[in-house]
Amino acid sequence: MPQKTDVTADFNLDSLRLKQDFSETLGIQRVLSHVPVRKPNKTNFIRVHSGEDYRMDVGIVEMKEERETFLVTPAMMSEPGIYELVVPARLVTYITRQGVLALWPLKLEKDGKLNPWHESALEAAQLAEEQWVSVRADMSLGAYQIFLATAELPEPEWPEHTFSELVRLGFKGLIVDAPDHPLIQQLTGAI
Amino acid sequence: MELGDFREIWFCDFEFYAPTGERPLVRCMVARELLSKRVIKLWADELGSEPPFNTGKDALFVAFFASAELGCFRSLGWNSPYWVLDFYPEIRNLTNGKTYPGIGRVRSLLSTLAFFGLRRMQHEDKRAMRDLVMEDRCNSTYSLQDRRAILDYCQTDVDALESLFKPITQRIVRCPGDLDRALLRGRYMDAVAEMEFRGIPIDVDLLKQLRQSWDDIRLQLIEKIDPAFGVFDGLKFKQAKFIDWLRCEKIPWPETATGKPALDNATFRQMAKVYPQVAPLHELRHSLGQLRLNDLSVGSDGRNRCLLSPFGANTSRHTPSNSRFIFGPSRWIRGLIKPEPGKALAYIDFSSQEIAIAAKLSSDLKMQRAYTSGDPYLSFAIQAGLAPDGATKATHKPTRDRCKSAVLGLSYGMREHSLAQRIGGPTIAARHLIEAHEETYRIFWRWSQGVVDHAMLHNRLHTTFGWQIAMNGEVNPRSVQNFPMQANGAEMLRLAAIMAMEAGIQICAPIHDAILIESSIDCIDIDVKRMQAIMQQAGQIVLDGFAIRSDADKVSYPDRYMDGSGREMWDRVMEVCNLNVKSARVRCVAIAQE
Repeated sequence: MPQKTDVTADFNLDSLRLKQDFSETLGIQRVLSHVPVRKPNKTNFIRVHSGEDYRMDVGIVEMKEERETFLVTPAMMSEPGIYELVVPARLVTYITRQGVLALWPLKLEKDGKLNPWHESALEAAQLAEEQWVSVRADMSLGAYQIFLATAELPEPEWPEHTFSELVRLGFKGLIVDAPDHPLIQQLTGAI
Repeated sequence: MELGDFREIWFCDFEFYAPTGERPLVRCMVARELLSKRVIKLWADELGSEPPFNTGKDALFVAFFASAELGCFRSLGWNSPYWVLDFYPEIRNLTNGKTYPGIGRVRSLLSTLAFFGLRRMQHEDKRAMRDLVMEDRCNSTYSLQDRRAILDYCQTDVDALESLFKPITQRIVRCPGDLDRALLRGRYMDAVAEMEFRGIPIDVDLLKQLRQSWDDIRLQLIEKIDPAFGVFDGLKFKQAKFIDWLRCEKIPWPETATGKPALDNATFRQMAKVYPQVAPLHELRHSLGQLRLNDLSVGSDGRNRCLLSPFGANTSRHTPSNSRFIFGPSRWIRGLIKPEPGKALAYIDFSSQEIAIAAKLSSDLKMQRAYTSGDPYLSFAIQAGLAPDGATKATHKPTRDRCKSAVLGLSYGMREHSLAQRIGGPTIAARHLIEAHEETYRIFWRWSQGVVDHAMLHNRLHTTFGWQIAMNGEVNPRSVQNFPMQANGAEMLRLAAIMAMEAGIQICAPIHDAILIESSIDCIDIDVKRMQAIMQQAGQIVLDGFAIRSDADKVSYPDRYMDGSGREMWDRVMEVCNLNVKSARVRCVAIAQE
């Protein structure tokens, strides 16, 4: 038979409670180290950042074999070897439902030409500013099919990185900003 | 509370004889006071009607595995000490999750001494003395020489306690509140003693019949159940025949690394949930393989008593012996639990305890709303857009079932393949459910990842009341993620048991997130309400005010207790025994908390 005790009177239980806020007290921060530069995968649903400061019209060179996309600064666009290959593109920021942050180079009109692929991609990106979309190539149509998510999905959570940080990470070593850049050297046969 | 607040600090140990299922018969007691060095050594017949030392508010009682000592207190009709410091939970807490070279896991007094590098009695000497104590004989038949030897042996444990006092208290009392939290664990050991002392009433006549004919029953059960499967050859389970049956039923059974069907208990349990036709085979295999009725620990007063093994698991939950404890894994056997004439029992468990803990500790308001709705599974379905507003359990049962599987499975770190098996659907459907959960409860998932990060960064996790686990060697992130839910759930149950004991409620046993209580038929309804109020209060204390509900199953004499999932097997066993104790006579009344 226990003697008369009262745990709520004998202990100040509220003051004994230890914090469980593990996510707040941790002192770690996720580092964004890689930003893919590519068209969204056909299985992904994506949203495009609608902010003007999260997009930029640029010149790019796509090296299909190496699967690399180079960003060409305006001063380098008329360089020999580059001039023929550079295409204007709108670089937009997008995020997948899984939280992967990436850059999408959307081709723009060059020499007055804009094919249905580029046109439908631009249209998809515009829709993705407001809704979750999936972009899938349709060879028989000769353009991208755009699929809108019909479910009520939450708004994306954009990480706090500036666009220039994303560009720097996305084009690590792939920014053509000087005549001695390896890409120019290669295209002109200097190496 | 500080150690300096105590005027006396008593180390105490008993030697006692406790045959299977019985209350302890005290042989002797030795106690020693830290400051005055006073020693009290008494044989059983010298022990009076109250403790021979101060057990009041200004004294600290120190023991190792105090539930045993406090069981002796009860046998002697003594009041429990006011303050208990038990070195067992403290050394478990200090070393939880770790193993040490030459010691392994630190759980006994000897390994605790070894852990601190202190001199200890040899195992062989200890065993010889234990054997002498455990002889089935009256205290008066021991010679004076034997009595002296046993008392001296008992004193070695008391001396060990004294030598451990400084190293242990130095390690456990580091921050304000540490000692209080240790004393709270000590007080729980008193509640454990209370439950072990009371035990669970068993229908011993029926148990005797079952024991006598168990071999026949096993064969007859196979004859009864196996025709639907055709997987037994005599008493032997044939894997090849089982594979044929699986093919026939088109059941995709999980395989081992060698490509054979996994036959472990966990796989059977999980598959039985997905494919109900597997359930009878699962229960049969378990009953044949693991159920040893003779091991069930029942005393001469017809009550199941066994070591409840508090703080046995890393989460600090109990780990009683599966074969000795009536609430072991064979659920049908629980039908042997039967209140005595004029008495009633109630099994009261926290409702969706893990979800409530996860919701509150992570501060995920959406998940809290889902819990508070009373049906967290359907709420998840609605919140995730998998069911429309206004959906009910009746209108959207399949969706709710899938969501329930996801909610429960994810709390254990289940991933898409296992969840697919559980919901009986393709992996893509399981992945979709997981993504829906991650999206709906983003705050929870961020916190859950924070739990793992914290554990990996600091090599340690702790509960609200200081139970901790160290990360050691290979860490399983799923166990780490689940730790706060399980270990804080254990804190809640401990607090509820202490409060119930102090309120005079007759507590019989802890069962994971439930407590079995006993009362007179006249008072059971009142006691259930009191117990539910206590459990709610315990929940609020652990979860900083968050209200957690409980459910109660009540059974009064002459009915017997029955776990729903064991009912079918119970009926089969009774049928083969030609016993007219069908589960129809088993009546459990479910009571939800208002």
